[in-house]
This record gives sequence, C-alpha cells and structure tokens, in this order.
Amino acid sequence: MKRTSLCFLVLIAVFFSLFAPNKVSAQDFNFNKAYQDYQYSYEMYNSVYSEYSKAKDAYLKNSTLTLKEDARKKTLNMLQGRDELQKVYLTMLRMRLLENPGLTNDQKGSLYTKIDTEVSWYLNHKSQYLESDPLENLFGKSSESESRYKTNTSQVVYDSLFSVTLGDLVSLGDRQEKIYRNLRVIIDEQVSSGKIRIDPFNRWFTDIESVSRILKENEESAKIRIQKLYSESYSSPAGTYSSAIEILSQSVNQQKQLNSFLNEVLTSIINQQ
Amino acid sequence: MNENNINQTPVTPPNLVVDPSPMNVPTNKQKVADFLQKLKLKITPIIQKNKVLVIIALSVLGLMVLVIVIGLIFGKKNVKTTSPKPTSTPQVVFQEDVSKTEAPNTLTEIGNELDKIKKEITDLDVQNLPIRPPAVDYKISF
Repeated sequence: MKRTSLCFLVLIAVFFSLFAPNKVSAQDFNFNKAYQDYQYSYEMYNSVYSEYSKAKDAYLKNSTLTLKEDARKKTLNMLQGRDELQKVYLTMLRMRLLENPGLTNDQKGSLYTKIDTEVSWYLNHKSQYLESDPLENLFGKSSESESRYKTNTSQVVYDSLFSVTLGDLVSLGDRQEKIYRNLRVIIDEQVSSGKIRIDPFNRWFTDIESVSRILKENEESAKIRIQKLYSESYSSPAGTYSSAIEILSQSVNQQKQLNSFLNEVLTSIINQQ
Repeated sequence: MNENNINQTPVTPPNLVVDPSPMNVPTNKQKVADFLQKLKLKITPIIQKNKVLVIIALSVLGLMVLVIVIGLIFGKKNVKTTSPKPTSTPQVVFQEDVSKTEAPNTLTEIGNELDKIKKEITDLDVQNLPIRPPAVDYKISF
C-alpha cells in the first residue's frame, strides 16, 4: 500500500512539475518583477564595483603580483556584473513598454527588436570574459562594451524612455478623447430633447478641440525630435532625449487643462438638469 | 588445416539458395505479433501481482490526459481574451455606450474617470527618473 501511494504521489509531482511552473512563471513576470530584478542587479554591480575599486587602489599603492591578481579577479567580476546589469536594465525597459497601453503594437515591435538585439549582444559579450583573461584583455573587452553603449545601446535606451512617456500621455489623451465624445453625445441628446441649451457648449467644444490639437502637434513634434537619436551622431542621446521630453512636458499642462475643461462641461450638464 | 577450412566454408546448402521458402523469413506482421506475445507474457504476471498499482497509474494517466485536453480546449479561449488588443477604437466602443449615457450614473462615472485621470496626470513622471540608465563606469584601465 505504501508503494502504491508513493507511486501515486510521484506521478502527481511529475505532472505538476511538467505543466504548472511554466504557466506561473510566464504570468508572474511583469514590469514590477523586472524592476526588482534590475534593482538587485544594480546593487550587485555596485557591490562588485566597490570591491574592484578597493582592489585597484590597493594594487596602485603597492604593485605586487598578488595584489595585481586580486585586482584582476575583481575587475573580471565587475565587468561581468556590468554586462549583466545592462542586460537586466534593457529587459526591464522592455517590460515597461510591454505594459504601456498608449503604444501601438507596431511601435512596441520596433522597440522590442532593437532592445532584443542589445540584450543578445550583452549576453554574448558577458560570456566572452574568461577566468584566465589577463588585465590587458579585460580592459580591451571593457572597451567593447563602452563602444557598444555609445554607438547602439544608449540610442535604444533613450528611444525607449521617450516612448514610455509618449505612451503614457497618449493613453491619458485617448481616455480624455473618449470622455469628450461621450459628453458630446449626452449634450446632443439632451439638447434635442429640450433638457439643456447648446449655447455655451458649442463654444466650449471649440476650445477643447483646440487643446486636443495642440496635444497632437506636440506629440508629432516630439516624435520628430527623438528621431535625431539615430540621425545626428554629433549630439548626445541624453541631450536629444531631454529636448524631446521637454516638448512632451508641455503636453502635461495641456492635458491638465483639457481635464479641467471636461470637468466644467460635466458640471454644467449636471447643473442644467 | 586453415586452407582446408577456407575451402569448405563457401559450400552452401542448395536448399537455402534455390528455394527461399517464405515460411522461414518472418514478415513484419509476424514480428510485431511475436513481440506483442512476448510482451504480454512478461507483463501479465506483473499486472496480476500489482493490480491496485496498475489501476491507480492508469487512472492518473487518464486524469492527466483529461486535464491536458480540457486545458487545450479552454486554454485557447483564455488566450483569445487575454491577447493584447489593437489600438482601441473609442468611437465604436463609445457608440455602444451612447444609449446608456443619459442615466445620471454615467455622468457620475465620467466624473470619477476625470478625477482618476487628473490624479494620473499629477503623478505622471515625464522624466522617467526611476528607470533612467544606471550609472556605470567605463573608464577602468589602470
């Protein structure tokens, strides 16, 4: 009897181990989890960087072979941690984009392709560090990471960050647009049934649409600005990002105004009923 | 001695060469039947010894198959509902809600939604500070 129950338990365990974990892990991995992973990797990097820094200083003060070997090992750890951090950071950005409701599938797909290429690069590059690498080799491989970050990764990072903000604003704008259309239908119906007058609303609609148009223009202008990440090699990606974000920042005020306009319309409908 | 042996071996019995009787060469069907027969002979005593075990194992396997089939049938439906929808078409969705918008509740809902949006705009981090690139050191040569 013991044997049969044991077999039964083993079969159940095999069954759940085959099917259950995949589902759970796929559902659980979201932006929050990715962000936690990133924070952990950042802490790890800071830790190994601190060890590297101390070992480097010790070697520079007293250039013995033992201290050089210690510095070499700490440098290796730090460089591997740095590649890992970039990989985890890019993955976190990807998850942020994935959960952004304001971006189209095409916009997301285009960014995923760029991010995935960078993730693969860091994954591959991390594996190229060898335990036996002398310091000079480590410095050379470190330069490859630096070069990659400058020529490719930073553009992808700032493009993604810009898209996160853009998507957030577009999502809010879509919701406001929906409310506006909803209010217009309510007003049209109540005007035709004689419950309320069209008088102030027709002018208010013009003002609301004007704000809405400004928002669209800002969006387009910011999109054009961010494309300079790829076309202007002389300007820094961080600078280009800041100037594009500045345009979107103006949209925040416009959206606040649009929200208060919509609130006024709503209050006015309620008061006239 | 060796030479004699070599001379003797190539002599094959005429029966085998001239008359390859089909009875001597088993067909695939026969092979399978033989294999199944042997398998049956081996398994039958084991099954008879552990009847309870076999019943439990078979019922668990049946349950697994059933769960997989159910999962496949209902799983597909879930995928459809959870798959990211393309960009929303507010106008169309909105038209469906129009008939209900006269109710004061809808105005209340709009008010709530506007409050929610106002809060989200206030909380919005345009600069994305928490997810800005990590500060890493690239100047490491010494």
